[in-house]
Amino acid sequence: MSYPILDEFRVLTNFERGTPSWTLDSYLSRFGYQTAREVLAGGRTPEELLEEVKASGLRGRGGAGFPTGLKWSFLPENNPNPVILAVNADESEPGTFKDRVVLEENPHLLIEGILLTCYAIGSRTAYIYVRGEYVGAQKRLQAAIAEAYAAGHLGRKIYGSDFDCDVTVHSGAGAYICGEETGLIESIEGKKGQPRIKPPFPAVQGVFGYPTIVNNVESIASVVYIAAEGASGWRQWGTDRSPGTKLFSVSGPVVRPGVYEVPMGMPFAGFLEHHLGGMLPGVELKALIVGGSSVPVVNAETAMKLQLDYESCEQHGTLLGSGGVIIIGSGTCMVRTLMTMLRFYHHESCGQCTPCREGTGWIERIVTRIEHGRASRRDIDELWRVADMMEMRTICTLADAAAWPTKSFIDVFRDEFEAHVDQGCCPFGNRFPDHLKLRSGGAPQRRDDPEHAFIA
Amino acid sequence: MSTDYVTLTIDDVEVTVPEGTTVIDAAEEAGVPIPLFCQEMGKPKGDRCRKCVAEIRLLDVTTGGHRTVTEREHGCWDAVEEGMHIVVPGPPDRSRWRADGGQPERRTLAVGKRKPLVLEPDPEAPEVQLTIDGVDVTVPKGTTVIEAAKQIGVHIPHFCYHPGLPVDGNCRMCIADVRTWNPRREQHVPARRPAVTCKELAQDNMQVFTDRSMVRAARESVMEFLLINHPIDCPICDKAGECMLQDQYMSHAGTRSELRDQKVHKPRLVPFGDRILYNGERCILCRRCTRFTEHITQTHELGIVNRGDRSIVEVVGGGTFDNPYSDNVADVCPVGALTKTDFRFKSRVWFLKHTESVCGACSRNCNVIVDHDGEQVVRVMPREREEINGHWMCNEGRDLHKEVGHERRPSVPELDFDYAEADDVIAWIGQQLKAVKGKPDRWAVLVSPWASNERAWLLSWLTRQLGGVNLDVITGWTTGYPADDLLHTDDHNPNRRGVVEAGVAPGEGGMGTADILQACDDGNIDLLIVWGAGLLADVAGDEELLKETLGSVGKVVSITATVDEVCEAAHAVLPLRNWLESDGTWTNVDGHTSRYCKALRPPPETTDSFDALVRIAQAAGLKPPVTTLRQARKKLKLDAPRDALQVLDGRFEFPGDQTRFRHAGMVEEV
Repeated sequence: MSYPILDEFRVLTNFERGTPSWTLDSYLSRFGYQTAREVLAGGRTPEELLEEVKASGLRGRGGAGFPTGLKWSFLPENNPNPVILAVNADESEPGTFKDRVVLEENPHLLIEGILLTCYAIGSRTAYIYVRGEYVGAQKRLQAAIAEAYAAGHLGRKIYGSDFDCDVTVHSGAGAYICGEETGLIESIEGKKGQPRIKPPFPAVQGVFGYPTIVNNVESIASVVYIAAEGASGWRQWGTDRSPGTKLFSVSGPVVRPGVYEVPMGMPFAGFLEHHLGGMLPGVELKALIVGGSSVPVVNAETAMKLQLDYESCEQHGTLLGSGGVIIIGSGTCMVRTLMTMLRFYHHESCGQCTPCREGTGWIERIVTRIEHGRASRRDIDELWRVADMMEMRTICTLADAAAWPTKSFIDVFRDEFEAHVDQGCCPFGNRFPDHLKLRSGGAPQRRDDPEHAFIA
Repeated sequence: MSTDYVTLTIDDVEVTVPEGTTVIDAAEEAGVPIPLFCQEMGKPKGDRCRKCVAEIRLLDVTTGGHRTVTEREHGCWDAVEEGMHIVVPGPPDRSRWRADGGQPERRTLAVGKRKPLVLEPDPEAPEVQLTIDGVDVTVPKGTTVIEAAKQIGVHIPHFCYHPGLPVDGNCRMCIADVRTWNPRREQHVPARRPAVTCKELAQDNMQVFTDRSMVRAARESVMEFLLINHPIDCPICDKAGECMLQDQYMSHAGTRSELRDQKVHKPRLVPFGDRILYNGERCILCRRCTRFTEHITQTHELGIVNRGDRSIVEVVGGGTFDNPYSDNVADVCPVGALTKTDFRFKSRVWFLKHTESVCGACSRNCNVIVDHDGEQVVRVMPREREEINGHWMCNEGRDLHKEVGHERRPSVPELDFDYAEADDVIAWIGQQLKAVKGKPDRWAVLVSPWASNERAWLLSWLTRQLGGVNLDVITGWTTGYPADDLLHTDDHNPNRRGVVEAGVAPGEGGMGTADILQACDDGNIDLLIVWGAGLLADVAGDEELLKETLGSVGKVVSITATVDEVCEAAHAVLPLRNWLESDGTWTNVDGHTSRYCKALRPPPETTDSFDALVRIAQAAGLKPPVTTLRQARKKLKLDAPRDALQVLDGRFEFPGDQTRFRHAGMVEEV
């Protein structure tokens, strides 16, 4: 993976690539922990800091784009219980790998962000819920926390103030659904990760029943800059409703895929041209998924009109999501792409709500048939109809995350779906691997059945 | 020609049989016969009914271990294979219900303060007013929309919601168009994500629409999702007829299946303990059963394993599902995923007659519905009674009718150890009573704590009218489940409190049970009337002592529905009808009264015990103040107000409110 830094918007990636940027020394040399020291020494009251974050207009970077300061203000007043901060580092959305950069290359920025956030919301305990597969990130994060404790940046009476802060790293076990905030809370509590019905919202009743703020890694890391430079400093970049910079993780047939920090509102065309180095030779842009696999797909024409901010994406029928930019080039079968994505959602559905539990498997089976030409045009309508039935009828948004791309893939690339059923095979020449044949049959008979063991 | 032999193990018994022997024959050879459903269904042995309960495990050559196979791969009609291991579950162990059978080890429930069984909103809470389908309804704050709708008779279809369990909100069937008042926009606005009414709390000025096209579409889509992987094997499903999925299909979907993909296959016939069988394919994963073990018994045996449409219910942690309340999970199951081994293939539910009754297994008096065919009880299910049993009952109560059926009943009235007409026995008892009138220390009456309030009251009235003072309750049954903090009490008789409250206690200068028995032993008693069975416990189980004691009594009268030592030694025996065959009321340990109704046809030569008492009183020259049960209840209510008799006149619901009905047998009979 590469993350070239081409511009001067280095808020979250303010380090030189190739240096041991994850160490405390490196971080201190970049004026690390100075903001926290000033704030804790009495530079700002928690209320002032909260107002600053509110004024900055920072929007949650996990995908929904909910204003972070507003979320913090939902904490109950005069609350006698401890407040808990849960940092969501369960980055499992296909196409998204931007938090990994912060966790692996700049973990102290996250720790400082946690310090400031805890100070603002009156919390003394923070959990970092790291995706189970991020073993390397966990190691670096754990080492950074140990360094921070040893140097007095965490623990009791930090910098001589009355402020205590403890950080615990909680490893996930590889479930996508634990990235949903209430699923994450259940998982921290040691239960099976399944979203809870809201309300009560986590800010009222979260981890172990205490008021909890769940924020994405990138949101928390952005707080450091906002605390240092103020809301106006943050608002110098981005648009009015999407201020600041944002990390984008780019994958696909471009010259320089990787993680980029750019100001919000940058036109996608310019981003592709200047940062990504354009498409690979001989490949044309066919489609774009701008915010991770859960958001609707757009075709090349729309993509070129797109700006990388929340409003522009909504205007063009998609969502900025978590910033997992998936670029689809010519020569890629859209049906097969959808099939791969739906396999993921079928596998990751927690099984709680009926529409998602039964629907994800159903649409996967239909799209698998379409991909292999064993379907009729009616099946395309059926696929759209089932996806529509799943939408907005479940506890969390996983069903929507499966339904939105399904509907948009059909809406935008219906001709490809029709070509599949008309030709009776994949026009891109994709064959049907044997292990997929098995998968289309349904769930395993028993968990201990070795033939199906890889699923359970 | 030599025959090859195959060695396999069946329930730890190693057996070598010729190649080609079927599993059934091999099991018989090993002395561990498999209970065969095919034969139970009247079909030839090995009829591929696919319902055998034996678990067949094949030797897995790659791992050296065994793996369980489904009936599709290998059934009991197939030939045995080398190294095969077969587990044959025995018939349900009935001995556990008796103390002499030894108590099997089981996870016991904590004994402590009893928790409220039904989660009700605080009645003191302020009230909110909302509109449901155009009807205004006022409910206490904290009431959910589905419950508010129930109050005005609007039924919102649901699967996972159960009034006795915490809300889960996973089935998504109870979605409605719920609009809250937005003061800024000065209008009602719908929620962004449609609300599930089982979780949504009623708010002031809320508007709920339960029958709009959006709501119907949502319900129909849920039905479609639930049915795509459901096997739709209603013709062989025990739940058919009272299945929520079936009912909802009829009222919401009603269309033909258009599914062209293969359904998801899951394990079927998984035993959860020896009372419950689980069928994963029928399961709609509503989690009522797991919530029951999590929140009601708090034993946490059941859990959901796997994710998505691979999810199944399993006994987690490798234990067995063997708690004293396990059968409730089959009651709350909205579909036929959890079935009771007892009830499998016994009867179609629409052939059953339902009678309201009360469980007599302990002094909790769980209100039940007895399902029967008029001759014998097929199953017993709990009936909702909030202050007594909530929605639940224990397994012992469900099996009680089997013990009653198996115990020896006194077949005919007897007088001096010879057959007599019931009228003659009654007249004889009346004469004896007349003879002892005025000699209060020479006669005694002992009453079982199984007697109903009306009968106990009339008996105590009779005794006092004749000047008797030696009147007391006997100990009765002493075996059964230990007490716990859910339902079970430590008194294994239903009506001790009611009998005592009805006046069965020693009169002035009278003797209690122990003293009466001592006086009997000393030869000071001329007439001893024992109502009901179970006197043995009062002599510490010493049969010889009891026989000796009774031998010293002038005349022993046994009025009972069960043969015991007293009955065998009695000079007069009057066979009675038991509580399944008659009407009456019991009062439980907390003072709540429940009424049981006649379910079964009584055996010939038995007498209704209330009727018999009236006639005995008349034979003894008295004029009883009441001659019918109805009059007795009226009088009792006047004498000691009972709080819940009127409950019987209302509608009631099955657990999980699957079926609403009012039984014609409710009409009081005399």
